[in-house]
Amino acid sequence: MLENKLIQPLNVSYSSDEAGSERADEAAKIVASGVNVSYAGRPAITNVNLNIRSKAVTALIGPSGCGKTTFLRCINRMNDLIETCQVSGSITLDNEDVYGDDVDVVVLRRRIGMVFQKPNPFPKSIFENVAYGPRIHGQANKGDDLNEIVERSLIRAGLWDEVKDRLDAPATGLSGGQQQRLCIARAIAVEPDVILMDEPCSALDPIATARIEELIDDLKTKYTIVIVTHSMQQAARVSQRTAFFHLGELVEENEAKVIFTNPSDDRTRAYVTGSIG
Amino acid sequence: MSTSSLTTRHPNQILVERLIRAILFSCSAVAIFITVGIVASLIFEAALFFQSVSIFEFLFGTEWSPQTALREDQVGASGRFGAVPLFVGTGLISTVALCVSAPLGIFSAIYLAEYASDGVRSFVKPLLEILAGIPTVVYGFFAAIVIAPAISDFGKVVGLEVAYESALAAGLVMGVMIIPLISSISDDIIKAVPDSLREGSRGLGATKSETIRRVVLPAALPGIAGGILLATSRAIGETMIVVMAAGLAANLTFNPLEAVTTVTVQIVVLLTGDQEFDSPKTLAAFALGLALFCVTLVLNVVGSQIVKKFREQYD
Repeated sequence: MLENKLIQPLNVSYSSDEAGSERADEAAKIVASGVNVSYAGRPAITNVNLNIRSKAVTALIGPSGCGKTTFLRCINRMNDLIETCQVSGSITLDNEDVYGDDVDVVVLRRRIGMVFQKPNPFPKSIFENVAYGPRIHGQANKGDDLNEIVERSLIRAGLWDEVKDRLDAPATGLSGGQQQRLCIARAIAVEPDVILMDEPCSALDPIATARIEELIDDLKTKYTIVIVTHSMQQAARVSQRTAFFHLGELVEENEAKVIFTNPSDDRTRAYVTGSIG
Repeated sequence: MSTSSLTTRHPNQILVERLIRAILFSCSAVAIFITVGIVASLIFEAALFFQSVSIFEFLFGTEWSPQTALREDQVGASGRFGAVPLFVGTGLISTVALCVSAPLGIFSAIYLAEYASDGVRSFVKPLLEILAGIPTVVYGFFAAIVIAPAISDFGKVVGLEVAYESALAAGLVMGVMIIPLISSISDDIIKAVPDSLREGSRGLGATKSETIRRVVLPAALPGIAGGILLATSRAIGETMIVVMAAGLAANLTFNPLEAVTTVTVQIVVLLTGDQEFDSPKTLAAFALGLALFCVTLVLNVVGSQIVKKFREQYD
């Protein structure tokens, strides 16, 4: 039954045996089933069923207002912060219900990190930005442990060489691209399993964007990454799997190259060829 | 007929335009000239004062007894113009006021900006603004008639000697008066901290109060400090409360349970009643006024610059 769902999510009808068998081997890190979200009674996404594969990049694409960001923010329950937001259906992380009664969002968000659209470094030093999460979660408070976490996270985010001599400088003095990589370092400092990225490059120039994309490619060996993007080229470049949202529905999810070259739904085809959206 | 349309305007139109411009200009000119005139008169009269009393004695002298002799043989009427006790008294009362208003104002601002629902907010904010609208003379007699005796009586119960006109009573009431000022500036500042920072912190698993303590408040601190400077300037210049609730005797003390006097109180005392206009006693008021003006001007300029800079940072 579950197996069946894995292979045939609702609303999706494609027939690629190769892709299907390949996917059966892969563990689904996150499983969303029948997810509905509404703001103040107005539905934003309806009946989304999606499996997100472990240690791979899944891109969510679609026109503005299609619900892709809403869905992303359901995964780490950031929508809880919006009072009028109602979520139903189920989302599991490693078979554990994210919306279960005894789930502690603090623990949940430690396991599912998030990177936002606009780089949002705290008005603190570079070091303190990365150390923020480990301090909150009591992973390390000071001394060598913390230094090591900060260094490791900055190295992994590809920022270490640029900032190692000025860790005490204010983070807001970094360029936009550096700030965004700092935000990625800040997210991985708490050692999450999953990183959610909400259009992480939309405020960046093409060179900074390319660096972030390279970084995403590196990170997927260790983390499960879900990225919302407006850029189809970006989705095609960084993602292994791509999900197309339209008007609050998940229209189609498949191998990135299938979505971009041979989608099964007409709406997907229209979007990726540029005639809608 | 069509040849004239580009070049000729109705002469009345031009006249009206010029007239309106002239009226508006003169109104703003009046305001500026009056300000300049007041400051000039302060400086001029203060200069006269400093001809008879040295500026050194005024700024650093610790004895204030402005009664000058009317007759040569009068006792104890030498006239000493050391303003230190007045500034210390002003500082003491303002400090008490800030100790009350800063925590209350900032915490209520945090509650309003971060926790309160829209319903509560729409109820509490106007209430705080009513507090700001109470005339200071009302605060003054409240301080003198209710708070001061209560503190004095309470002191007796616990065995402390509390002056009836203690700095504490005046400071407490003044503190209540400036709560709305601090809370409304802090509320603005906290609201100006971008939500993206809150989301960043919550996204890392921080709780609401961790986010406020570790991200929102540190980010808002410079702006809040600016707001406190503005409130300080207000406290230093406040007159009515201290005239009614603080003392007249210029004691040089840092004990809030004793009676102190302030710069503003002394200005009132020096200038009320029949006075010779060119005696040092009268002119001393201008010197005090000038000193007060300088201090509040600096506080206002620095405070509003900080607040402005803070807002720009996140615009």
